[in-house]
Amino acid sequence: MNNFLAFDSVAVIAIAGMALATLLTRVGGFWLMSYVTLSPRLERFLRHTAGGVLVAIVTAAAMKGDPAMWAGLAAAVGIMLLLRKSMTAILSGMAIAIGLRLLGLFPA
Amino acid sequence: MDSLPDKPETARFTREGVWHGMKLTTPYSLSALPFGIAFGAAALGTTLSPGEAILMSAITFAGSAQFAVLGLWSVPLPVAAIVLTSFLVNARHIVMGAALYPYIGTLPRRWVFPISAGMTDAGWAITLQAMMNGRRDLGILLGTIIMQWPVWVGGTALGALVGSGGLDVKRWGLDVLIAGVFATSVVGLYRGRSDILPWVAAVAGTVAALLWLPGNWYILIGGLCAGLAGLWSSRDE
Repeated sequence: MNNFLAFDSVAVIAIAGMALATLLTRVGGFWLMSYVTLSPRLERFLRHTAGGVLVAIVTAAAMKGDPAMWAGLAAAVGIMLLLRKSMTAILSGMAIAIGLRLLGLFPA
Repeated sequence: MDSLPDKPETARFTREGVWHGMKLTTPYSLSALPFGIAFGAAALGTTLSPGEAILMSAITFAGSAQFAVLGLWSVPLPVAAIVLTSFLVNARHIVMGAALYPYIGTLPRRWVFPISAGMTDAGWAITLQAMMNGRRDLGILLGTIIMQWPVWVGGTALGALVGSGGLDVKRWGLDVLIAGVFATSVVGLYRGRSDILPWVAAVAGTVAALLWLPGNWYILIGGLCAGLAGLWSSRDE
């Protein structure tokens, strides 16, 4: 068992370096853009890039999923299209996946 | 139709925005718990002490990067590789931040920079959706952080101290919860037919990147494919 209070100096430096590298990526986009004049073209590019990032995350998650996950995800999207309430949609999708797995139709 | 704000609203930073962000993040924040526990427990398998694991979650606050460096965590510690890996795994945030900038670019940097330091994938998606629907309030992003950070750090502490394997992600439907946050954001972002081609391009780029590239480059590549396709599909406007 590792000692809770043990703080190795090299490990702390590595962790601080990770935090700094992550901070640079999170602030970096806002910082870079503050030097750029937003043209309508650039705004369109950024808007579509943002949508593409979301689509990429969903695509990758769906590719790694199983049928119960696909059913839950499809239900969430369907309910979102109908009701436009994201919390209701997501929780319903979860419930469907949990239910399908409980029934053993699509074992987890 | 294709211009940025649907209902133009001045960028703001309000307490109501913080509440709104917290409310929107509530269901998602649940999912940070089992992953935090899993990270804390996995960290014990390396030379990390519980205190170090908790410190990492507290000041890095980046799940995928933290799991990625666990594979590198051996004596002597490859500090440069660990820092570089963190940067590369998180490089997607640069594009995400740039995409969010047009909505809040008029706000002072002393607000935007500190708050962006806590931006996660889900926090970004929730904030972007709210802003595209006309609510340009930096408080929303802060609200997403308030709901996620304590859960992630607390989960890490629980996993590192109790050492349990964490919850069964599939049994509790957390895979649908996580993907659902992003999928419902996609639905909320749809503005018209000019979105279809960029999204098809994003799917194609993502699948290609997943097949041929390691890590999570697919996020950047999917995003850039959509951005370029978007310029092309709306070139006549």
